[in-house]
Amino acid sequence: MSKTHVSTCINGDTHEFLCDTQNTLLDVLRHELDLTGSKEGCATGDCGACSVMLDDRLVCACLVLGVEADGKEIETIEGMSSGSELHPIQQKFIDLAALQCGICTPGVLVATKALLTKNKNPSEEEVRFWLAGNLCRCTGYDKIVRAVLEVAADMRNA
Amino acid sequence: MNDMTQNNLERALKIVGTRPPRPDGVDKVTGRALFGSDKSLPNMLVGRVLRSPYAHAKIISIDTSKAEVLNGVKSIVTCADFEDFPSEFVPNGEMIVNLKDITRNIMAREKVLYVGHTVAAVAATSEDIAEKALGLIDIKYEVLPHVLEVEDAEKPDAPVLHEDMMTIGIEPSPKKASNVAKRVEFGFGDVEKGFAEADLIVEREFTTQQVHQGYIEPHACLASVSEDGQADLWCTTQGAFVVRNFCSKLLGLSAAQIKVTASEIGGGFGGKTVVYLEPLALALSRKSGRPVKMEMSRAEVFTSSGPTSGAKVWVKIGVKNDGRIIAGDCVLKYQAGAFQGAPVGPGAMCAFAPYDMVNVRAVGYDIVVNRPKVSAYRAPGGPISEYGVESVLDEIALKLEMDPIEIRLKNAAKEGTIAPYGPKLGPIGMIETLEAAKAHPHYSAPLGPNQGRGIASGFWFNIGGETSSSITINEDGTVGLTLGTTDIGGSRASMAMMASEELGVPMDLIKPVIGDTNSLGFNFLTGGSRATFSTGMTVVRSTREAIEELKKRAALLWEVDLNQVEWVDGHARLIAGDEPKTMSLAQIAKQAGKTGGPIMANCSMNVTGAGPSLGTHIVDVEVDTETGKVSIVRYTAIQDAGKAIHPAYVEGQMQGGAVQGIGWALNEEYIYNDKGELENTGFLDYRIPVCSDVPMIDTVIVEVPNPNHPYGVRGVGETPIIPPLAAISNAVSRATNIRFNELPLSPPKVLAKLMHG
Amino acid sequence: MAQLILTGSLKSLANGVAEFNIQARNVHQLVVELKQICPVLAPLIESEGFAVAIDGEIYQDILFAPIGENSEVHLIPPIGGG
Repeated sequence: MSKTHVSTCINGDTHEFLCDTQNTLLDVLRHELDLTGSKEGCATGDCGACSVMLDDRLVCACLVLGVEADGKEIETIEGMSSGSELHPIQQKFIDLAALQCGICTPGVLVATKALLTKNKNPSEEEVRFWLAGNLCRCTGYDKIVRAVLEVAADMRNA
Repeated sequence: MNDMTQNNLERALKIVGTRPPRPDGVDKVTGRALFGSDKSLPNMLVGRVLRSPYAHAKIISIDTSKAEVLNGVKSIVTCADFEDFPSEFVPNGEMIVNLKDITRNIMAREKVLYVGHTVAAVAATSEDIAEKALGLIDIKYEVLPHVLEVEDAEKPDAPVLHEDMMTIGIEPSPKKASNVAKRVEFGFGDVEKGFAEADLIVEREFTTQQVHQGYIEPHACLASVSEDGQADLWCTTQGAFVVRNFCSKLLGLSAAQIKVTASEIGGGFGGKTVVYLEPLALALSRKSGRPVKMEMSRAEVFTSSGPTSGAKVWVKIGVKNDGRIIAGDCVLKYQAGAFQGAPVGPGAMCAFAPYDMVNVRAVGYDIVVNRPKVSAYRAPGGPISEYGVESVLDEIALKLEMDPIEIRLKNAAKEGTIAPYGPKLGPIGMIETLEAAKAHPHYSAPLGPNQGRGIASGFWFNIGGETSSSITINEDGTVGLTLGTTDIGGSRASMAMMASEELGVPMDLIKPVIGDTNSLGFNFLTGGSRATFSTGMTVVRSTREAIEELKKRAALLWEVDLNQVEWVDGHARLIAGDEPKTMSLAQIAKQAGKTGGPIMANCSMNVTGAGPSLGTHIVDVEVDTETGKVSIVRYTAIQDAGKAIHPAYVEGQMQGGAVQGIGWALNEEYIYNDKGELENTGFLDYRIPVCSDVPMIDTVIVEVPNPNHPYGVRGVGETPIIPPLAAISNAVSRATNIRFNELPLSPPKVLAKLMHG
Repeated sequence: MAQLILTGSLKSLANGVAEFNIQARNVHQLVVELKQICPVLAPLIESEGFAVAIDGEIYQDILFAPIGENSEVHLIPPIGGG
């Protein structure tokens, strides 16, 4: 079985890779490109730990095939900070202790950024439903939701 | 000599009690942090596990010959590759383990005992080849009848899992093997006499289902064994030293031959305190001479790791008319899974522990069934037994028309109370959490239609144990901390804070790291709510020792006696003399080489003096009478932390524990079909609470200091999962005027009860 | 004189005897003494790893925890945790 040549743009950089048709985008990111910031918690699209942006759409990388990424733009957690500056969402999560073990954090951050791009002033309910696809077993979500609401307000006022 | 036991309970604190950013925060928000499956090595193989399709079967034969010749397969291991052990409880670090059971749980020998039980493992050059090889392994089974529930497992004609298992703890000792591993009993007084004197007795039976810890990161490890038998193991674990000891026994390697490095851990909750993949990866690597990486799928996590017991609980409580408990009795039957070791002992010990009991008895049975062997889960055993007791107490309060907080206050355990398991309790915060609950605005807020408010309290012991850490004063005045307990929820922050408070230097000058098993003496695992307490104790002591050394160096430079030097705010200060003289930590550190060499200190001890943590939760639920769906409307968790070093992470433990408890109470359960196969092996069907399922979890940290810790710390991690089960059940019962005694309170169960009573 | 107090299963194991006067001044000595005064309990302590509560303070696997002149000593199972 021959591999498919795929050409993508990940976090602003051009990447080319060969992948089997059955490999998921998550497999490719983690195993081929060593971008291990996206996590595999379930491989069935239930936990959201592998949330990435695919051409401005929030997706679970475990539900996208590597070959589907051809010609697309991908944004992962590794591309969220710029230079030595954390994104305000990242900083807010640290400041408000909105993470404990940190395994869900990359996915939650990518999903939060996607939310705040679409909706600059989400209600608590909107935040909770938007993040319903990102499982967190440590925090009980309280500090995550507070961090999202607070950073949304900061970004509106910035 | 500095007083190592001196406590800081009265001192004004600058760092402890504040909310600084955690030292590992940036790594975790940028994707840099490396978890169990994030590391790779050159020439690495992929390991996969073949698991039993049967709940109970004899293994007749295992033929790996076809798989072995598949191109790309580099090693295969079965039970033949592991030494067998006799049935014997032996110390393994701080745990007492039965190696006969452990070696059979990591790799089945004579029989498979649950669907998902490991029977072989393969290492190959790719995942595909490894998977293909699994399919080529030919195993002949003789399928046996299986048993899943404790009430079936204890019947005389039940299929017996272990032909050599005789019940311990009953007289006379049985001569016939059964599935009941052990009977335990705790208590004192005369319960029968107590019930005879009672004005009101309530007696109920409860059922809880098997639930999983549900950590988001599956088990994963990377093992590399060299030709001379030196082993490097990278894995996600709550205790690197415990893994080292398990693996050294299971593989016949010495402790010095195995170096275990704990990765960042993506949740554990007790489930990452034992070994599953680690010995397999080491064995595969040893056999192939190449590094082997193994990861569990989510389905494997559910079928073959964790979980905690499902149980049957019977509770009987007798009270006087004024609400004073005169007798309490309970019988707990916990599923152990395929091997003995259900947490029924601690369950029985803490069932009535929040209360000052006169006559009390708690009996527990540890019963094996054809399910995965249970492992620890946050306050192991406690949520189940206390759910029963707290539910009956609520019903009694209703019958006596007493406020549920008042009845608890009337019976609350306090300093000097004899715990149901024997000893007198030290200072504890049961009364304080109840008073805080009563005073909280939540408690007096009005309720809407179909809403109910539930209250429950919870007790957990907390532990100390073997702990070792070290501190180094770097030449530039920065400070390194090497810690031996996995940081599972922010402990690096609290350790750096305590060191910062002691030293009087800013926290950002202090860099805490988690050491591997070669860098420190033995550390028991992160569990039993012990990390902040125990490792904190060693950090404070080693920091004080380092301060002594810093003072000595200053005394040398000033040419004065050591007793002329004191340590204030990060500086040595000359006590006597006409003009005030000080020298900063950085100034002393810079000259360390010239004044005697590098400055470091370590502290290794078996920590004692852990203080129990008590919690009381208030919950409002709303029951949809058409669908049976229960919604959490408002939630407040109140807990005695002793002292919150980093209050945000204490709140985080309380909130996370409460929401895990909400999952246990409302949704989570293992669902088996009649073949003994688990039917819900993914997060879609095994539904842990998602963000939209829960409201904000309000918290109140109560601080009744633990006198045995320099800052008054108790553990906080485990207690918060105890109260939610009963609090929610009580709230649903009050909302519907129907008593519920079965978890989870999922819509079909609630609806059935609403329709048929 | 220090006292060893047994409750629950341990009391049954000791044929219903709830209290023993003990000479031991630490846990190490207690294990030795138990072999004489209540042999049935000794293997439990050695094999299953019991913890000892001395005047309410729990000591797990600490042989030289001191037992005072008038201490109250309880045997309890070791406590783990998640």
